[in-house]
Amino acid sequence: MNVSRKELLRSKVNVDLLKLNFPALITILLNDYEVDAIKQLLKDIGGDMAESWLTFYTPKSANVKRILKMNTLRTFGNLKMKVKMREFDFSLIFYQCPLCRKDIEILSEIPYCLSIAGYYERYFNILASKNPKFKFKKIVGDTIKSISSGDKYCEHLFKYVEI
Amino acid sequence: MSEIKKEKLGFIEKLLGSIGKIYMWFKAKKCNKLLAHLGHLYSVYELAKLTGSYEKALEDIKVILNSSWYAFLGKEKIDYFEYVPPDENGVEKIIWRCNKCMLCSGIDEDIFIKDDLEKIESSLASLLLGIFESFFGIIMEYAGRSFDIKVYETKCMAKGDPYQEITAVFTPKKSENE
Repeated sequence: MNVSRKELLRSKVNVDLLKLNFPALITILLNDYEVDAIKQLLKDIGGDMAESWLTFYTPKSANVKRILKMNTLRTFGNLKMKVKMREFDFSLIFYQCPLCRKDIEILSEIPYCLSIAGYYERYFNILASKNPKFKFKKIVGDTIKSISSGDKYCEHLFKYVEI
Repeated sequence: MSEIKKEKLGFIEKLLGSIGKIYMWFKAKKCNKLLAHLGHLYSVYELAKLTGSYEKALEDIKVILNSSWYAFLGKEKIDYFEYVPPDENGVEKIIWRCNKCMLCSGIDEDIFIKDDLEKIESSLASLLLGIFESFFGIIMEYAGRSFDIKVYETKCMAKGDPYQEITAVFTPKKSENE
């Protein structure tokens, strides 16, 4: 009998496993696909992860800042991060990115942590579709700064496209 | 001065290795195992959707990962380990088995993959195998031994095998003089 997903949910793994996954994937895809297609694919992978993750744990709160902090703690542990809320968008900033490694060669302008933007884009769109207390109905996420691209921190920007 | 070649790791190096892996795990940043599982699973799935068969894409991989492979899985243990000594061509193998595999955990219930299983079941571990090849390459380089290294998943629980089995094949590189 193999390990169940509920058991996986309760256990931990070295985060380097994820950090190596995306550079390996991008390297393979760069042979045959355009940068924009790969970016979309990374966002889709993040989105699929979020949709699956929500089947195991769905927050009841509609407080974006609180959800981001609690979910990061639950998934990646205690990381140095900041959430900036503005009128029509919000930013998630990681000073210690869970997906970027400085020692892995950068092969393109694709940020290794773009999946995080895809993850929270779909995560909040699903939550907002079920909970009218959210300020928005739909958001679009993008990674505008990334440690893997040479920036000092990673910043994921989420714009409200439907209020 | 001639370079010192080590045929195998000595007692002290093995001892340091077994203490080191616990220290590395203790010091490592960790994430939730389910999240890592989903990240790996959907990466392989998206690749399979794009390429039809990911095994074809695997042939094109020439990934050099500039990092080492630590004790990734923490307390998840290897249930069987076998070293196959060199055959007449000098090819060595290591084989290990795990009775629990995080890679294929629950995929038959997965909301995206359950109806599409045959697309990825032959390639579930493929990204991970590339990482293993890099990892062994780094270790062998340290030991001063020159091998072509290939790592295969020889048994897979997603295909109905009772355990996961991975085989690493070390083929000696021929020197230019040979």
